[in-house]
Amino acid sequence: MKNRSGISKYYLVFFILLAVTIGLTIYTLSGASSAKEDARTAQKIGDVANNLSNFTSNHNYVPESLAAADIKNVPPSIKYTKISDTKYQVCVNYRNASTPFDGGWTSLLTGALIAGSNPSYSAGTSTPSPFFDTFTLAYYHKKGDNCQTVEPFMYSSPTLSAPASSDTSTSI
Amino acid sequence: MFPNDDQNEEAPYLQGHKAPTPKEDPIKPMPVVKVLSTHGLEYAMMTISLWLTAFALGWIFLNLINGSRGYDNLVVPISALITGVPIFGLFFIRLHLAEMRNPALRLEASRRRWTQLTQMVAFLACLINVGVFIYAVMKHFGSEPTPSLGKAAGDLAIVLVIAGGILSYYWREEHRQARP
Repeated sequence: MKNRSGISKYYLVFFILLAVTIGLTIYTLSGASSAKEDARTAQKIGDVANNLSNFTSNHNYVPESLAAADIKNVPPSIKYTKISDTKYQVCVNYRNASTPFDGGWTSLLTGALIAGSNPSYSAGTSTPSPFFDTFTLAYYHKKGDNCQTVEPFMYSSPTLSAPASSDTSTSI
Repeated sequence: MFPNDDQNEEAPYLQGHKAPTPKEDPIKPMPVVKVLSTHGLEYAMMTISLWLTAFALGWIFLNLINGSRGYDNLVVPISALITGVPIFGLFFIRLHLAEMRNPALRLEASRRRWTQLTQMVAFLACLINVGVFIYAVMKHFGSEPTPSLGKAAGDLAIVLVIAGGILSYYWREEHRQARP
């Protein structure tokens, strides 16, 4: 009788462990679709940055839209706004915040060493930057909108003027 | 006097002579193949799956506490947990039933080797984490900016529940057996 109650205690612990595993699996899988969407966004942002950079260096003005810069299949999570002929803003919407922290398999031994490490989000500043920083947008982003204002000609005047005035002036 | 007592002299059987057979030299050491007992192998498998489960659980809960709750942060430890839990449970219950039928199994050397090694690993995990937590508390009173003490306490609690739980289980069991 004592033996039976002894083993049933371990069965109970095992079933609790199994229930925790199933719960954590469901929780993890529920985030799979948003992770996939974020990965697609992060991948596309590299193409957008390359094409925008090529366009601005070839034309010396910023495009009206992403389509004007021949950038196709842009997910709705990436939004482009032309602010002026020399300035644009790109907003990228992520469903999850990036988390550079990962405990790793040894975290049980070193758990307290990583105590309370907070991820820092450097993406999404309103200060204009001379280049489109895709690295921080891909790896240091917060949940929701992360906007970057880019002023490609911040430190150099465009050699050609924007299309509206390009008929009248051309500089070296 | 044995043929190779003197280390400076080459043994006669190496000088073109035939090597003596065990019959001719009965006390010559012979290599022995060391193997685990039948249940010893099962204890080894159970211990490895216990470690896998414990490390995966720690990884998951520490990630959750420290804000890494995304799919990409959890998919690897969850896979390890799904692998480890059923194997550990199967071996644990199977061996526990065998121990109830034959209590002498609890004292088997290969079992004790694994349980004692597990206790050492669990003890080290608790020791390192308590030490680092105290350091974090001390540093909190200093001038340097420190991470959240609440999170540090949470991290420590997770390690103590997992590693401390394993250590206390085996500790109680070991001391129960030692009692006359």
